[in-house]
Parts: sequence; C-alpha cells; structure tokens
Amino acid sequence: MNNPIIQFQEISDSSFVSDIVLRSSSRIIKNRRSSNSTSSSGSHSSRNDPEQTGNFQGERVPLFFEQEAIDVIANYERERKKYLLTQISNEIRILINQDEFVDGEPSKSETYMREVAENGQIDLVMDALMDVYSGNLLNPHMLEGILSMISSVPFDIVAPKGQVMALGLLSNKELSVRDKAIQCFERWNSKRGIEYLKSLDCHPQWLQKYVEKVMLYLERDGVD
Amino acid sequence: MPFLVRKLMKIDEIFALSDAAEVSKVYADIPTTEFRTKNGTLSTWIIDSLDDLGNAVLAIAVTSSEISKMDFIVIDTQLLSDNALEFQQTYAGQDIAIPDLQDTHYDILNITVEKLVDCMKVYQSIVRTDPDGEKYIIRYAAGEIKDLLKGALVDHRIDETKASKKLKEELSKLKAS
Repeated sequence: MNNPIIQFQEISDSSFVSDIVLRSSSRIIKNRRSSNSTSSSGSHSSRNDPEQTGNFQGERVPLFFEQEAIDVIANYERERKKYLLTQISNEIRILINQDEFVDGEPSKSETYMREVAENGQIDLVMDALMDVYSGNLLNPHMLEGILSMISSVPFDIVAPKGQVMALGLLSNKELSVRDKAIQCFERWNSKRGIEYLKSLDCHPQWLQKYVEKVMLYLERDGVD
Repeated sequence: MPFLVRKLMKIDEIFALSDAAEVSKVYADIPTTEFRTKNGTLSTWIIDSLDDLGNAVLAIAVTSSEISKMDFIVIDTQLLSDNALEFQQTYAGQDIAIPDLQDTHYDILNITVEKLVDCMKVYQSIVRTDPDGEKYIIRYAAGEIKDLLKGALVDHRIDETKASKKLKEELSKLKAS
C-alpha cells in the first residue's frame, strides 16, 4: 500500500507550497497598496506612493513573516493536517475493511502500523485512528482492526491515545471487541496495564479467565 | 479415543452455535471462517488424551507466523466418526520445528459443501458439551504458549533450522529471559 504521508510530502514539496507562498505574498502587497491609498487619500496620494514615485526609501519592505503571512501559513498548516488526516483515515478504513484478524498471523493493518512507527509518523496516524474510532463505534470489525493496529506497536509509542481507545472498548457490548481490547494489554506487555484490567468483571467465563491469565503474566513478565 | 485439535478463528461466534436449533440455517459466517479447506481437507493435530493438549498447541504455534493468544477446539474422533467425517495422518505441508510432532498432523478429509454442515454439527456438539470453554474449547494466553516453547527448548525438542524467522526471534527472546 502507498504511504499517504509520503505521497503528500511529494506534493507539498513542489507546486503546492510555492503556490501558497506566491498567493500570500501577492495578497500582502495588494493589501498594502489598498491601505496606502486609504491612509494617504487626496492629492498627495500619488506623490507619496513609492510604487508610483519609485521612492522606496524609508518604506518597510513587506516581509514574508508579517502577521498576515503567518496567518496564511498557519491556515495552510491546518488545511494540510486536515487533508492528511482525511487521507490517512480513509486509508485505514479501507485497510481494515479488507483485512482479517487471525491470532498468530500478522494482518496487513498491523504491518502498516509497524512501518509507520518505524518511520516516525505515528502522531498523525494516531490522530487518524482516533478519527476512525470515533466514527465507527458501532462497527465491531473496524474497532477490532483499530485495536489490532494499536497493540502491534509498543505501549509508549501509542500512549496515551492508544490506551484511551483500548480502555473505552474494554466494556464494549461486542464480545469480540472486548476480547481484542484485553489482548491489547497482553501484547503491550506493560505492567502499567494491570491497573486497567484489575477492575474488569468479564462475561463469559472464558474471557474472565483470560483477563486473569493476562494479569498473571504481566505481573511475572511485564516490563515496568 | 484420540482427539484432533484445531485452531479456532473466532471463538465468540463458536459459542453462539450452542443456541442454534438447526445448524444448516445458521449464517454462513462460521463455516466460511472456521472451515477454510485446502483440497477438501481441514488441518488438525492429534493427541491421545487431553493431557497432551500442550503438544498440539506447540505444533500449531511453531507453524504460525507469530506467537499470540490462540483458541483451540478439541474434537473427540468418535464425534467425527458419528458424523461420517474421515480423517487420516498427512504431511503438515512443512517440516515443523518440533520434529517429534511431525507425524501428529492429521487432516479431516473429503470436505464438500454438504459435509460442512456435518462439521458444524460436530462443533455444535462440542460447544453444547463445554459451554463455558473449560475442556474442549480452550484459550491459551500468549504467555502460556511461550512457557510451552520454553519447556520445549529446555527439553531440546526444537530444531531451530526448521523454525521461521519470526519463531527464531521469539526463541532468542525466550532463551534470553
């Protein structure tokens, strides 16, 4: 699967950024012109207008880092993040929908997550996962996929969003989702997970037994 | 009678079989998930008694891509015979990393679409016998499977030349611990 982050970086490195910069610069110059003409209205306007007189001495050159430009860039960053989030969220939805989650066999979604973590792009993907999570609270397969993904990388890498999602699903009405949420703590193998599991009272019995085993192994083998 | 052990894909759905009045009317989700046949066969591992379950778990674990929690169903071979399902010893498709278990691979044979209903009946019968998952439908936590692997290492049962890359990594971690 193509990595949407990399794809976007390719776009942003070329035409899109230069387009934004050009547009912001021309807007600044345009606004400056109109403010000059307003402030110096009357017969002196054309005489004082450096663009007409050619006298730029004492006139502050419109720097790129003026407030307006900063706003444009901030807005661009917001739009860029929104665009990326939408793109990654869609990728994740497609990936999970086409995937299956079988114990002992790594899924495509988990492989994707591990690659993302290795490439240091986890923050954006966690935001995207949160987005997919909140939009699919009644979709057990999607929730299982999200849980498989977050549990395929270490506890600290997905903290705190990963734990928030897993915690929220420990009491989900779907048995398969509760099961996967418990498995998250088993796979993370962090002693910190014991606290989360201690308060659980699971049904059916085999699931409660599983919780107890997970806690036992976390006590014995879990990392601090 | 010996037992055949098979890995379960969706334990939560299996238990729902218990309430089905007629298995042939149940949604096809279970057979399409649980009974993925290859040339009309279903892969299993044989044990002589329930005490040997660990051996079947080990065989399945070393042929999996990674060590995680797993669910298993233990099928009394009498049940297969009662439902006209045949089984026989076959090659596991690979040389497994625990050579003394190589010959314990068995296939349930000649599975046709019609026979899938019989397989469902076998599973339903097991679920009804063990509704709480204590004897014939068993979950092993990842830690339990790792303990079994450690035991096999200590007993020099593992031939690492036959282990997959992932399994070798896991074995190295277990040795280090």
